[in-house]
Amino acid sequence: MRKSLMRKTTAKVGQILVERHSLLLLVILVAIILVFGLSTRRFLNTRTFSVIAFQCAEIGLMGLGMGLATMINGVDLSVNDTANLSALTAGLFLNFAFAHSFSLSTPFLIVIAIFIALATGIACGILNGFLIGYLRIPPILTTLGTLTLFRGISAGVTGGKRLTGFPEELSMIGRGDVLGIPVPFLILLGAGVVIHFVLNHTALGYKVRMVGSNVNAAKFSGIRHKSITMYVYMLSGILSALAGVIIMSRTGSVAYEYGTQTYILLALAIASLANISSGFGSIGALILAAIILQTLSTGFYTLLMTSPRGGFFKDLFWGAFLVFVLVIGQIIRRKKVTR
Amino acid sequence: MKKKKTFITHEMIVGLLTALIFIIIGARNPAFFSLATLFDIVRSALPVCIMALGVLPVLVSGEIDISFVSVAAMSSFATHFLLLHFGYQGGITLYLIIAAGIGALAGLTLGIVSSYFKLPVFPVSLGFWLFWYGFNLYFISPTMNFKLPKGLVGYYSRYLLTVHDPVVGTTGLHISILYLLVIVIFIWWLLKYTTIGRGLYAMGGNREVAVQTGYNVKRILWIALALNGALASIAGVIQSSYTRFFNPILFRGDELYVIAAAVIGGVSITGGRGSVVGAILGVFFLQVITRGLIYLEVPAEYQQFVVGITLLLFVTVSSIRGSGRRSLFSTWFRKQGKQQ
Repeated sequence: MRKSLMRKTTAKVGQILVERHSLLLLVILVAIILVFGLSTRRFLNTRTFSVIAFQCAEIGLMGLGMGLATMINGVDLSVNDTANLSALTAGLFLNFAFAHSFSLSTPFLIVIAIFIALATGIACGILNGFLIGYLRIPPILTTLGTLTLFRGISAGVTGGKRLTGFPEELSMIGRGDVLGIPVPFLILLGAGVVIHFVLNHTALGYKVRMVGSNVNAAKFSGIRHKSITMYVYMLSGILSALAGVIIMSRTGSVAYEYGTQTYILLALAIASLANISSGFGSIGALILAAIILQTLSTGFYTLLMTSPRGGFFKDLFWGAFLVFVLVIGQIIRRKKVTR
Repeated sequence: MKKKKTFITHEMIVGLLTALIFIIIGARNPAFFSLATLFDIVRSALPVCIMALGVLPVLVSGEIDISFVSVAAMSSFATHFLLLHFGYQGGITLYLIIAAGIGALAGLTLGIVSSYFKLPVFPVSLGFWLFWYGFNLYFISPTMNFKLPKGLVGYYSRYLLTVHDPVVGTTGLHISILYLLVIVIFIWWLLKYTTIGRGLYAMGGNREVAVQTGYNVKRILWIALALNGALASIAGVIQSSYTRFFNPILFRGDELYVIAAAVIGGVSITGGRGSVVGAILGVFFLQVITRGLIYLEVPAEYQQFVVGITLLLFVTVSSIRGSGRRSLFSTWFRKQGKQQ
């Protein structure tokens, strides 16, 4: 008698978790925090959570961009290099402004630099959107090409060297906090809210989801899928540029090879973990997925800080983890279908 | 009914462009335009060619696999340490056999994981890309290994024909071209004369139709991925023998270069189109350009930019003239004929 009641409850809970994917992710997050907290004493303190909150914005914003591209049946592999290139243009402007003693106040210059970074991000997005939307080149190939192009521009312009020498005030973005909440995290949440609103409460967002679900049906409904594609990649570019600004502010430098090996994987993992599919996607799930991945990253760093070869274990782990995430995502999708 | 004839194929255009660029750069810097430089290009392009031939069947089938570079690194590194452990002092052949075996198994693993969970190969291969590099660094050794068996020493300079050049020095047609020839013939035969090859093109063209036609799509994909791993491993061993050390992060970052070379050579990323000749010409095209940049004294940092923009230009032009085997010239000629 009791066994069947337990089984019913488990089935019911399982059903709820599968339906509301964000809830599932929340449960996973809590579980991961518990596991790490029990494995090492160094994990459960405010400093760790502060680090997580500060750093999750970078991959979170890139993950948002990748998620948007996945929603219209594409992919944006150039997120990381767009971020670096945008940061580069902003950094070059700042250095130029200081070298020539512009008579504007520093915060104002920083705002201009941010706008320059965003403009670069939009330009990169326009290139992607044009090639993918109008010339109908497959997104994987296009973004492979554009990521090489953007990285090449960054490498060529910097000559392989890092760009530094930014004003103190810049680090306010990447390292400051408002009422205890880190600024990057606020930026991530803010971007998430905006995109959620656009996706679910505007005509543009509706069209994006239509194009993602069924391009042909959208075409015959009068939706101009080419310009919608363009908008989505422009949006991805803006988000990547924001991530680039945060990186530049946090590390105080711009390097063309920053995050090139792992960030694309993390962005893909976020999109997959958040169960983004053509036309469907929850921004909340994306942000939760970003937090989960960042928690894992920080957790493993804390765990392996003492191990001599710990740093190399990261690669091994992340590779296996990405495959694991993809598999889990697929299993969840199949459970949803067979329900 | 007259059959549509392809006048000038994509591959011919690439070949012509390669020759053209070779001549142009040679005009600016005469040291470039020599048999010695040609032999040098052949030798450095060789591992890339082998990898491109490995990627070819996978791309033709419509999938993308990026992990072949790390499989190459893992299998060559593992083979090296294995043979060192047993005090091996022979030549490259045993290295190639063992590494190819390990590489095939790694590729097969990728195939099995993807097909069992019905996942597209690309993201899974990204995971494996990172995994095998991590495997190398964590389980085998994080540093490069310079201890070579006696049979491998001096491999870089084993030539079939030797050439002495005042500027480039002594070089020649490297002996490893024999391996390339065997692989070229094998892949060409596989793609053109076997059911597996036909199945690859069918899968790439339209996967559903291929399944309905009765091709065992899963099996064919496994074979293509295993082959990719094996060939990349062979390339890895040859490259390590050139440079006289074994690198745990061999080829890391080069996967885009190989795929770009294949795409430039006419292999369609969505599958269904591609040839051995095209893949090799694509590699040589990129090699001539990147080496030419060095001779033109362009700083090394700009190389990636050139590769990126070349790829994008090629892809843009390809898509503007539309998909299908008709080239730009044949369409133009047909129009001319109709106006009579």
